[in-house]
Amino acid sequence: MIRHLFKMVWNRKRTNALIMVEILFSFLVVFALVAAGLELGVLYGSPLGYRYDDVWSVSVDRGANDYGSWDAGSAATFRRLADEARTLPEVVAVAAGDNAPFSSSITSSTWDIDGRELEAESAAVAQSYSDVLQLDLIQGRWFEEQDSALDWEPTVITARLATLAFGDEDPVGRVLMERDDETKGSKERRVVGVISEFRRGGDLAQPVSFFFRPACEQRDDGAPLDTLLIRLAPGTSADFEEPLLARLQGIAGTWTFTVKPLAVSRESQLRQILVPLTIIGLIAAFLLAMVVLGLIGVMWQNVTRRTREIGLRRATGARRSNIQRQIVAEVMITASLGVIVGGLLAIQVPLIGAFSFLSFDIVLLALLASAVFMLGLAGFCGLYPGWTATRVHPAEALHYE
Amino acid sequence: MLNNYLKIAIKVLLRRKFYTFVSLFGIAFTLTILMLGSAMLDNTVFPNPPESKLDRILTIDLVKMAGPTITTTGDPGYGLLDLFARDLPGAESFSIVSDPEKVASFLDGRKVESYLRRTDGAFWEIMDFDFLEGGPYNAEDDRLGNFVAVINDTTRERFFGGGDAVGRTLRAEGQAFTVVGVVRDVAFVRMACFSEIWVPIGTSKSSAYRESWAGGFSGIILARDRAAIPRIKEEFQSRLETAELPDPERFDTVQSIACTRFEQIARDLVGDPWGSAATGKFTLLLGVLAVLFMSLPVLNLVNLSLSRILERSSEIGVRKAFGASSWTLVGQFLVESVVLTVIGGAVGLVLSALALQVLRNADFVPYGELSLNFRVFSYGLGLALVFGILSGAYPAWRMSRLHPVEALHGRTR
Repeated sequence: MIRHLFKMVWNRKRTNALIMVEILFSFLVVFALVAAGLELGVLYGSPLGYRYDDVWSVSVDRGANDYGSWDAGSAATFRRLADEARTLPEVVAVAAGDNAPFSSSITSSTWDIDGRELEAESAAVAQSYSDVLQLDLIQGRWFEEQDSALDWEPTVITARLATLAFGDEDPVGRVLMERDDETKGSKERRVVGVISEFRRGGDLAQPVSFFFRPACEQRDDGAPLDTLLIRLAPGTSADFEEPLLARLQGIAGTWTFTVKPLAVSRESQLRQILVPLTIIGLIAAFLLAMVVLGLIGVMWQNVTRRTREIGLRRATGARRSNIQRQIVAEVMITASLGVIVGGLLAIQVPLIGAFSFLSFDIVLLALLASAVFMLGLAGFCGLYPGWTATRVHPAEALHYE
Repeated sequence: MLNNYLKIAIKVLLRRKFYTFVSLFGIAFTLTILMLGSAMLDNTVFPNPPESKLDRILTIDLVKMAGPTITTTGDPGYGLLDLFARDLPGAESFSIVSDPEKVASFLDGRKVESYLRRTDGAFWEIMDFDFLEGGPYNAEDDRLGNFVAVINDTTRERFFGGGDAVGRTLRAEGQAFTVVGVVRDVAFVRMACFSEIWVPIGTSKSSAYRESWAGGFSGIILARDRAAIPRIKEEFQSRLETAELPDPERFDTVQSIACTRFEQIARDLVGDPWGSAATGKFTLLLGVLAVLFMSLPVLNLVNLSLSRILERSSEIGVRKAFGASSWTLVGQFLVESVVLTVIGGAVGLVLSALALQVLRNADFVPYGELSLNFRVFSYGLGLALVFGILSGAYPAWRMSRLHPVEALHGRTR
């Protein structure tokens, strides 16, 4: 039976080849969307490693973006800003840093560990940063007041970085050296604690290795401090922004402050990714609708052309359901050829290492889901033409010529 | 002859409503998307007020400073623009503007965010704003740091409830400005001039920006004519090559580039800031994307028209038997498919107008003003023709090859 169906498909290879190519293209479109959707779904579901609700970020613009202008005076002003904010009753905790969650700026560095190269993002943060974002410390300790007296630099790393750098060994107390640390003569850097995760890039960003350095007051080896993170008492309303700004402005009149709740930054960041994706999804849906209508039209025309063949089958005792099944099976065979070719193309994506962030599981799942979807769609397109075919009256059909 | 073809084409379309509907749906939808794309490109790249002189405008908005340990890439600073981009030969005018930033104002305890841009006086001569009341501030205001502001229509509505605004005071970012002019809203895509509030650079809170080479500003050069553009670019480059950097231990090389709007967009999207190949790559990329996007609808249409040949095999048989050549038939069917796509294009145009209306109301980007104009319409027509020929060629060729005897007999292979 199957062999026979293949033969029927082969006999009409020119028409079917075009249908196959059409299915192939649609399959690739569906695959790309499903893969992207699954990937984003998985990312959205994994923990951020911090709590952003009731936290406001105040980005501080010192009026000069040049690297050279960070000095002891700026550092002192920054400290006064944090102290001032802390005196307000609505404020639970304040921390300065050179980076805020959900922002687009990145500081990254390359490390040498036993000859291996490791990429990691980092942030320089004040001691209270952990309280503001409620980081999840799983091993060792966070930065402490006495750290400044040490002759080495403490660092807190994420579990991901710990595993990459030290495998199963205990990371606490180990030394981490940055690529060009030695030439710069920086202090030795030792791990003092491990946190479970820190996805600075937000819900839809790929998790990366991350480490924290304590914010020094006179840093000349990187970006200066530019953010205050403030955790507020739950239920503080947006009205608090005005008095807060007035206080900060009172300390540093020439600086410019921009207040944004982290929840708002998160929202707009999500929208930036989801809006284009939704538009692409809508376009793809329309494309598919077009394909479905087109396929129905083509199949229907095919069936009308084959009136005699179908009449003959009916006359020799084939039942209506047999005819229906034949038509649907034929279109599904054509479709599965398209899906197989498309699948072979799509599986190249993980094999050649393009989009390497997509895990193999997700690609496989997406392949499977889109294959099932396309076959279902093709079968659906065969239903109505198949039904018209069953309406053929044997006597009339044979009389056709 | 053409007249006959057109008549036949219309008759054929009316005969099979389902096919016509499916084909038109596909064509109209595809062309709508392509037209929206070209409308966006058109509204960004072509001169429209206030950037009426866009074809003569060069923007400097990228600078890279590199040293032994740090490399920074970003907007240029005021200092660098002031030193190297002024009075370039072939330039008619030069202006420095800050990047628009969101600033907060408090109206009756309510927070209002607006975009604020600091500009010099020359900005108002290069740009062609449509003033609803008052006028611009000038270079003197900038030099003295007068606290004056030009605002757009929406901001006037927001702050002053739509009444006259000139002479009234507007507080933003802890500073108080006197409104001197109100302009019509500017589209967000007009990158060189977009904002909601414009104030003199001299009103900046500190004067640290004057020395800074990196960060926060961009330069706008108005060339005397289009022919002068290459010379301006070259001169700017050579001035930078001999530049003496203020802090050579930290940074020892500086690189920047003056580009036209199209180059700017190509650079941002293709991501090749210093290469000259970005525009070529970008054009190619756009073409490839459009063809890829059209491939599925074209295939669909080819499939549909192929199945429709069979219905008309006897007609083709008769025409062939009476001596019509294959080329005549190909011509006829191409005319038919072009008629179909042009009708689809017309529907698509209406749909794009509707979609633009929806997009505008949805407010994805502030003042995301998009409009269909004659140019976009002609793109649409061109796209429809390409689409019609792409999707009509193969079926027409197949049709023309039918054997007259078999065709008359109603048999086709």
